[in-house]
Amino acid sequence: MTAPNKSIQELLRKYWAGESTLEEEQTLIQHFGDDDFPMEDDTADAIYFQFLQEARQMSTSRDYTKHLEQSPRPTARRISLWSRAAAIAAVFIGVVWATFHFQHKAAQDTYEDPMAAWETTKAALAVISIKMQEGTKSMESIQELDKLQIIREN
Amino acid sequence: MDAIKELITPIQDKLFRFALRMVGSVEEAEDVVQEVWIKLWKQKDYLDKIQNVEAWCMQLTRNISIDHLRSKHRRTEGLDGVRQFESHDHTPDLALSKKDLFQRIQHMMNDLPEQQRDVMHLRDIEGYAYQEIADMLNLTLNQVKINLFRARTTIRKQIEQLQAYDSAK
Repeated sequence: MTAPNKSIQELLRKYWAGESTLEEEQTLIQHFGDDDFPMEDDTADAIYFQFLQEARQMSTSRDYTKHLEQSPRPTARRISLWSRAAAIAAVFIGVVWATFHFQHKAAQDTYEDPMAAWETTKAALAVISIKMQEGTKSMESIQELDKLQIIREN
Repeated sequence: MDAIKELITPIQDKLFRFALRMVGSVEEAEDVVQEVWIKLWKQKDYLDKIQNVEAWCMQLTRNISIDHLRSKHRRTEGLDGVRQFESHDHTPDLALSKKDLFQRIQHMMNDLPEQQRDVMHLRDIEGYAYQEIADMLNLTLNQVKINLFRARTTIRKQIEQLQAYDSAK
């Protein structure tokens, strides 16, 4: 195994210390990746730079433009945005119409005969009135207690 | 179309290699590059506002690759993990050919921590300057240098160990 020459040794030192420039790194790759580089000199350094050289040559074979022409164009996207806006507006109008329609229908369906509706309303108000009176009664007893307290204090 | 072609064709191999490094499968890496093309095509009216289209494409490649990895992770969760490469089934009796060695180094690089792997790939395989890498990966210049130093040191040690093991047989 032959030792690498001094300049290569210096470049290697700089490389592993993280001090090398892009040009120096390219020199190392070219040096170790050279077809004439002796096989018996395959040190860890040599193998590593040969790997880098090979890795740099990896390429893709797919024709990307072919798929690109099938993809939607930007104008198509704008049209699709308008369609979305129109769809949202349609849904909104639908919801508003349905709300008004059902509210109106619900009010109509409760009582068809106005007299029956009036009687039911009166009965409901009477129940509320009784409940309200219960509240007043308890208030009256509290007011009685307050009066007694005032008399004691005097 | 021609303008986009002129922009991306010279760098599409770089995008492919970077995506491949991240997603680990040729087909998926090509899908990533396809998505980059499509995004670029959709943004074609705004490309003149982008300062460095190449760096922007690399960032895009990285982001799309991460998305692919995430969705792949969701699909394979609980099975074999996120990234599947060729198996490490070399028997110790077999002398390592150069191709085997290269594959081993490939695995070593892929097994590095994410930032070290990306920095090393962008510098040592794609030949980008430190500042360009810092911009692409949103790192400081110092972080780029530290990550690169650590990555190179790890890989060198592992190659030496591999060689020592091979010559001891």
